[in-house]
Amino acid sequence: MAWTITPSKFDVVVIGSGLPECLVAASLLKAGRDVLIIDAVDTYGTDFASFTPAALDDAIVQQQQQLTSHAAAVSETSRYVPAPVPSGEEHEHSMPKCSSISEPVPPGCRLLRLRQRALPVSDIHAFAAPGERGGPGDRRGYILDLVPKLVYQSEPLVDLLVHCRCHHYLEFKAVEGSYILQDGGIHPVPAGRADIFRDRRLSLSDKRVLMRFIQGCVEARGGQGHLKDVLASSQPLAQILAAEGLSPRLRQVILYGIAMCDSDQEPTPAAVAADNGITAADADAAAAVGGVMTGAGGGAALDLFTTSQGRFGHEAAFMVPSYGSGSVAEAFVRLCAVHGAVTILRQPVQALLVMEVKEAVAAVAAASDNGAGSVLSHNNGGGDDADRLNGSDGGAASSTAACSCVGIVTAAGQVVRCKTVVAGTGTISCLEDVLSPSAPPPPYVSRAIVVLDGPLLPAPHGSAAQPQPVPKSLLTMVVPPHSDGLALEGQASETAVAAWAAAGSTGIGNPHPVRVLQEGASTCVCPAGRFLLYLSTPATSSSSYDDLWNTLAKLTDTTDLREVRSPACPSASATSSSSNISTAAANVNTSTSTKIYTDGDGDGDGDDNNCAVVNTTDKHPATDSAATSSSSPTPRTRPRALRAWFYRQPVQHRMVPAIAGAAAGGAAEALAYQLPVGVLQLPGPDGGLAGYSQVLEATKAAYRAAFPGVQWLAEATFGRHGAGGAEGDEEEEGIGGDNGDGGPAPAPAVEEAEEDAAIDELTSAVARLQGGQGV
Amino acid sequence: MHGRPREYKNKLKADPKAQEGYKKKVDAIRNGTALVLEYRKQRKYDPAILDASAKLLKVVPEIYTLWNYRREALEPVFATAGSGGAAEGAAQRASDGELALTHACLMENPKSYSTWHHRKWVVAKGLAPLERELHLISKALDEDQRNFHAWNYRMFICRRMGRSAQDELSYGEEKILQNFSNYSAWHFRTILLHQMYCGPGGAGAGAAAGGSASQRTPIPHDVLDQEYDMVHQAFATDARDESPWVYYRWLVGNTLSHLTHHKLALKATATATSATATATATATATAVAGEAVSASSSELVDATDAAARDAAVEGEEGAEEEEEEAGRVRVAAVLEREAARLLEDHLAAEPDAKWPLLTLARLREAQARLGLAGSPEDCEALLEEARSLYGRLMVLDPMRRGFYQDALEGRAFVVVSALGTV
Repeated sequence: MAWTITPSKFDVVVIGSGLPECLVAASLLKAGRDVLIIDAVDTYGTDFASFTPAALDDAIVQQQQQLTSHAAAVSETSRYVPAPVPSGEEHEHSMPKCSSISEPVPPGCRLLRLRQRALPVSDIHAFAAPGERGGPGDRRGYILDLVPKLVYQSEPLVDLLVHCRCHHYLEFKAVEGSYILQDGGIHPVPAGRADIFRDRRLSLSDKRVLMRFIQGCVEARGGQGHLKDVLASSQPLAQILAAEGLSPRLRQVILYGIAMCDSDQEPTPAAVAADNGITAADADAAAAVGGVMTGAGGGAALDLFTTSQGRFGHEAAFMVPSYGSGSVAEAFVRLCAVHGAVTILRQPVQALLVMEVKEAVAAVAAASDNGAGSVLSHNNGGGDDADRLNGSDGGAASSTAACSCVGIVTAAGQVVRCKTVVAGTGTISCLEDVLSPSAPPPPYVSRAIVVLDGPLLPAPHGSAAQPQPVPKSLLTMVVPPHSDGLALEGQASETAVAAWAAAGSTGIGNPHPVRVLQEGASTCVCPAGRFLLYLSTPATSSSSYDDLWNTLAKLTDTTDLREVRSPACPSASATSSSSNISTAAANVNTSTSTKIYTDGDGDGDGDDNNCAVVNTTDKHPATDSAATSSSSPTPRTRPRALRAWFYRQPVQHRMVPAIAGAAAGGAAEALAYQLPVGVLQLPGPDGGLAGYSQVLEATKAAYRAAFPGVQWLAEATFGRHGAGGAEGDEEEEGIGGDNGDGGPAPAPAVEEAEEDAAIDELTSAVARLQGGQGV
Repeated sequence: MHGRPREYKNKLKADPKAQEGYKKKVDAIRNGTALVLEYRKQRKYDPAILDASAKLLKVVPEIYTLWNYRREALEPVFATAGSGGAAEGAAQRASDGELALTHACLMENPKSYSTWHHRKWVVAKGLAPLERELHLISKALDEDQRNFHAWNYRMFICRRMGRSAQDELSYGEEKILQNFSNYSAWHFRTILLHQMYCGPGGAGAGAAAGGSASQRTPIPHDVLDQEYDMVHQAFATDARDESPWVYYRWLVGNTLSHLTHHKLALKATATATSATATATATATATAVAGEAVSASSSELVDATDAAARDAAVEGEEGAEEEEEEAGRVRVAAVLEREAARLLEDHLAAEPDAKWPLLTLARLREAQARLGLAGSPEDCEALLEEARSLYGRLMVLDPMRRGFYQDALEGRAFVVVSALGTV
């Protein structure tokens, strides 16, 4: 590349622009450090990014090509091969090619290669209904989140956004409803007084017990009431609820609908036996999203939920940013830019520059004399380094632990010197030869992104107060563990019922809760009339598809979905998994549609050579008839799934509030990698759908450990007028969520000014009249 | 909106700057009011003075004399409405102006009696778009669902619009579902239910909604049963909230009004039938007098009427008692069911809850005093139970000891059939 980054020396280089990276970058900027934020692609967010369908599909292809070439490279030459650029169109997530390093590696230094990856997720399976792919909507119609999130209205991140004035860059929509799949139907979560009053599903005693518990939680917060001790204990929350006399159904409401537990809290004896006997995967998956919630954890979770309810109007506890969850990270990038960060996009980092510790001390002195980069000499060829790095795993691991990071090498081949490199766990995991041999694999969540042609819940019946009711667009739902699934509405036709029974009326069989978030055009993430559905659950089976397909098939009409297969992925694992899926999909299709969809794997494989990117659908005779059958006059009670992506995402272990400290969680994570000195590893996404608290806490803990005594973002002062306030602006402000009313209410000063103006107007009007009278 | 202390006075004490501002405000109000009143004495209604009074009202909307001044000034303008031309335009402008002014005042002070009154006066002139009023009032009630001014105004607007009671009932129900700690919404419901079932459209001959319960047609038992169900949901959700208990008392009163209604209605039927018959006969006779068929027509009416009257008088002797007995049985069953619900659904879980105890005592006392419990011994036992409940309440709720003492001594007028309350 012709241009270079100037200056070529920073205090801190931040690789990637995920939320934790940006929080740390902003904190360091406010503490007076020079910061470079460098991101491999054209958009912000890294592991927390939002994608268009086109970008996602291209990234999938790219990733598969990378996997292939990487596997080939390792087996053939054991030399590093830069990521190939896909032949297709360039888009915001395509990465530029890596050039060889333009400068010689400085003496005593070597390179620690950073593998490029198109997507921070794996095990991707894409599905589409005929004719749904490739439209203009693929480029600008949808915003798909890799890490969808519900934001608690009173969680610390919200206060931080307001504190930093970043809320000016964002728009949030209140979540219109919170639901739970119970008794074969989708019902509102009775989470507040009004919900409990209106919920006719609850008996009078249910209502009383539930209210008593919720009131007990509120009292416990103030250190009073009958629950104050148990809600500070390490007794499992589920046991506390049972002792309080809550029925299993109400326990589900509290555990999964209000406390937002993400793993099974009441494993049946059979499930426990299965855990002990067969696999530890389940336990791992559960641990990834918090494991068993304690009374103390439950108390905190319920407190967060209740204080969030109605903080910004409405009764909702949650809100969601418009334009995708990636916009939250983006808001902090903007904050960094305002405070003087240099931000470079579309510039992958191909390696870290590291120096043996004893030489690093001397080099730091040298670097302070000369400009960075000018001290480079021809002594040590890059190839030698690469060979050494790839030579023996054990040796490399021990050597990385004893070295210090002094800079980075960009894809353009430029060396940028720095004292500290900051990167998310996702980026760190792409560093070669830093993984401890003994490190356990990270836990995963399985996620699905689905495009629907209608809302999950139909519009309510019209009433006088609301003659033309609108279906709820932004809502969340939970499918409790071992759910019995969804029964059809009473008016459903016989054929639909038969199809239902065939699809498996025996329940969803999910070992852990499946969380659901539906967004519509109200958050500007999809066109009007279309809806996005996000599903997530701890990964327990061998594939993301297996973890979530049953739930999706219960909630939506998946008849039309066909797997989209990439031609350029001959790797053994990918082929085998995709063929499994085709079979599974075909099974479901057979049962839910009268026409049998005959596409086996053989047919699809035969077509592969002809398809540029992917399309199995146009060539199948069964396609048209399948489409016809779905548009037949059968009353549709579920929305149709038009596209679906399933994937697995590595996640951070969830810290259990008040039991394991934040620092302990960070330390456990760091053990997995043996990093050079001067590399700060930040947390990746967590597995929960609700709240950023875990990410925020873990980021803060990592920051505190790495920069003791340096102020954290929440401690920095910001000017009154937007994030652009001058550094020295010490003016404190009274706005914030801490006065009970919460919310960005108009400052009292504004009201007073208005009244003063009214009085002035009155005085002058009276004076005029008195003058007139005098004359 | 509720339960927030006013900080103004505390601030005044502490802050000299605020004191100065306050003094300026008071002076401006005093001067302005004096000035407008001066012009009022001279019967001067210049636009400049109207303008000044508007500015004054924006600062302090509670000086009703100023509103009166505006009404005096504008009455002639509105009087020209309907005459067409320029005058018509002036009236419309005045109406719009007053709506805008009251709107601005209400945004600042949504609980100002004078402002609401003035707005009603404007709307009554007939130049305001009522749909918009309904929309505004819905917004006001979203802001503060317990603003009784807004509820009253809503009723006023709905009457003018001729909006159906059913529509309003579902609106009010939605508000109750949102938050049932809302006396105004429950009260609104009592009025609407009376309108729907006891109004002129109902069976009660001419009994207006304003009459006492005994004069009205009672609300049918099945409607009341649905209301009982709803209010029990509220009790279970939060038994400490008073407003549903007060509504419940109204419900019991309406159940009891079936008793008194039977007696009165049956008596009334006898008199009313004859009165109506006579009146009809007279009217018919007068109307057709002089016509050829008059005699026969008249006779026919008389004859029919006389027959009907005879039949009624004969039949009533037996039917009256039977019907009355059936009515009493039904009411007794409702009271017994409700007492059982209070015991099983609420007191079993929370034996010391004040409102269920008080309500149960009242039900028991009503059962006893109205002789609805069977034998006199049974009634005496129920009265004894009521007394012991009042006694228990005196211990549980010492703040209202005297109130329960009066009730215990039978001085609480627990059965006031004329008002339909227990």
